Amino acid sequence: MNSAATMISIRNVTKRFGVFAAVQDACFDIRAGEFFSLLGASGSGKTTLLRILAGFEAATEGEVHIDGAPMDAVPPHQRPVNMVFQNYAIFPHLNVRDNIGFGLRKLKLDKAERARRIDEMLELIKLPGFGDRASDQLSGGQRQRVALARALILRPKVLLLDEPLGALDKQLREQMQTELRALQRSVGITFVLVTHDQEEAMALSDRIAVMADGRVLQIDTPAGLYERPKTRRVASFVGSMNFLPGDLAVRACGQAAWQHGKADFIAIRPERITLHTDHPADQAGAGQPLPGRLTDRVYLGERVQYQVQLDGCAQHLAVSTPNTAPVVADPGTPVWLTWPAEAMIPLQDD
Amino acid sequence: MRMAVTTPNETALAAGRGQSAPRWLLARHEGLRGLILLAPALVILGITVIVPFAMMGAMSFWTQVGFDYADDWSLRNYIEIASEPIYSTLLLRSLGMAMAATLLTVVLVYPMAYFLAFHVHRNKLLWLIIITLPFWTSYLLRVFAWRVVLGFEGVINTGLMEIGLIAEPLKFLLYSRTAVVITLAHAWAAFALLPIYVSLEKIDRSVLEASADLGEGPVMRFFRVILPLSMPGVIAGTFLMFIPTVGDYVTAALVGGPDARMIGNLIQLQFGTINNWPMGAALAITMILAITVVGLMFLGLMLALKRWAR
Ligand SMILES: Nc1ncnc2c1ncn2[C@@H]1O[C@H](COP(=O)(O)OP(=O)(O)O)[C@@H](O)[C@H]1O
Ligand SMILES: [Mg+2]
Repeated sequence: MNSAATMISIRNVTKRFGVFAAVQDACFDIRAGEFFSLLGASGSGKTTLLRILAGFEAATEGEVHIDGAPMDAVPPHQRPVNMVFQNYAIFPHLNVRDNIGFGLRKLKLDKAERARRIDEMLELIKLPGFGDRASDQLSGGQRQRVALARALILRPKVLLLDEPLGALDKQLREQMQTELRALQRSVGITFVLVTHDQEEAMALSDRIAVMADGRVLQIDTPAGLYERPKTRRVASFVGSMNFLPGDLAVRACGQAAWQHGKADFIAIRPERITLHTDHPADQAGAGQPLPGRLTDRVYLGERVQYQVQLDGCAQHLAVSTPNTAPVVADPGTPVWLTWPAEAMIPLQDD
Repeated sequence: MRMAVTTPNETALAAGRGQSAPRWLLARHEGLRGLILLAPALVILGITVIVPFAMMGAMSFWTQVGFDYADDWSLRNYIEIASEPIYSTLLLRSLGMAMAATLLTVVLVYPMAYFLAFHVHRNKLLWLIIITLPFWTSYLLRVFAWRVVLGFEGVINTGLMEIGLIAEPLKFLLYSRTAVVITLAHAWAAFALLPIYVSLEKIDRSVLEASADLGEGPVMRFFRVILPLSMPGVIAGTFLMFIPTVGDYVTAALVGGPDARMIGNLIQLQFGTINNWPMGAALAITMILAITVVGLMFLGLMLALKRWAR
């Protein structure tokens, strides 16, 4: 991927509705050909930011450039972007063909070329032969594909997608994720996806911007976000995470391994913690295993999730082990926890 | 659930299962349930519309003899309607005036409905009430109000003379077809406004954004999305207004002159002073048939337009 070219440049964008700031001082670039996601809980300002890119909302402050051109004065119908709406916004009075071909009017194609392009899109979204279906005879997944085709047929520089898979059931969603990712690779268009589903963002994106309360907290690759979250909010939003006061961590791993003395607390992924049913032998340089008591066990199929209460404090830790590990007996059993020093992520209060 | 305990619900169910076939039938057949819900309306409709209509249809084949009828089942009335030009003139004129009034109203009322649906965000109900306020007064009162507005000494004429635009009162304003069309357009406006407003209000706002997103500016957005999606309302409004205005006679009687007489006036005369009920019935039936034909033609035109627009 050509990481040099910038497709979208968002400069200090703030959007206020009255006094309420839905987006605050967003400032980042999206690269050409990138699959970029805006990830955040409901109400965090993702849709608002996407609508600013599409031109449906004007930024209160700051500016947006798309492919080098300033967008301030460009109305939505003249922007080089297309959008897949959250509810798909399929035209109810048009059939599938006419929905997909809606934007072609301006290109002044002859009939045959128009039909050819629509057929090509029907092929791409795997709905050949559906052209004459009325729009109200489509399933959720089919509507989603039509919305996608309708936008892609115009070959935009950027495709904006607002929770495109949110309305689909889990199985279809996973299938569409794979298809969406393959589609993005094959058409090479920059995708900007809005989602509140961190797994979806991780599965699809080259980079993710995590948003909360209108602010962009961190922008990174999926692996970067998962392994090196910068703040507690990001850490808790992406995957599940244990948070420990610093001293407990020092006890568990030994002072030598604990170089992050200034951290307010540390974060550890549940799958990085090892669960022992017998007191493990001390290893040189490592801290002591932390004793605790099993309080809960949840069988998840491929993984088993445990809750452990540490002895002498109220702290609970989540531990997740692959199903191949020997299953510990019932809640109430005494256990010991260990983890490697590099599994600890130091975090400041935020 | 254990056997020993029987909830009231189960008891009811068991009773229902054991005793009543009707209940089972009801649960199974949605159509039957619908029919039962419709029954009161159907009864009223039957008594007040279908029976009188059938009676009128029958009567139209009779003949008036002095003060009595001869139920001789002849086509005489219809033959007279077909052969005497006065009837077709009046009928065509009524259809024409109703069309003019309907067209005028739909064109004037559409922007109002549009404004209400898309640009009023708060207190929509208040606006609706304000717009439909004139319709809270009696129909007769509204027609009389137009006499005051359009008359020789009326608001428009005195106003225009006052500012010196005209030297003499405009005679065509009152007692003319124009006056009838204007009055009809105003008097029935709410019937056209409400369905159009509802159909516009129902349009999903994201569909409008989608059309902008796909490259259409406001004008094409109107013609490619808003207008087609509001057509059901326009068609409903057109019918709601056209059908009753063809047969209207009060307006023509109050603000129309001799050349603005409508078929309704003639029908009224047949049932009144002329006292030829069979002829009145035949005229009414003819008018209904004519309205039906025009209505079907209008629907056909709309369908053709829809096909052409794609
Ligand atoms: N048109 C609007 N007027 C007022 N507040 C709005 C408007 N649109 C969005 N908001 C507010 O902005 C915040 C962010 O909304 P949104 O961008 O839709 O969040 P998300 O898509 O992340 O769920 C929400 O609190 C929402 O209530
Ligand atoms: Mg949203």
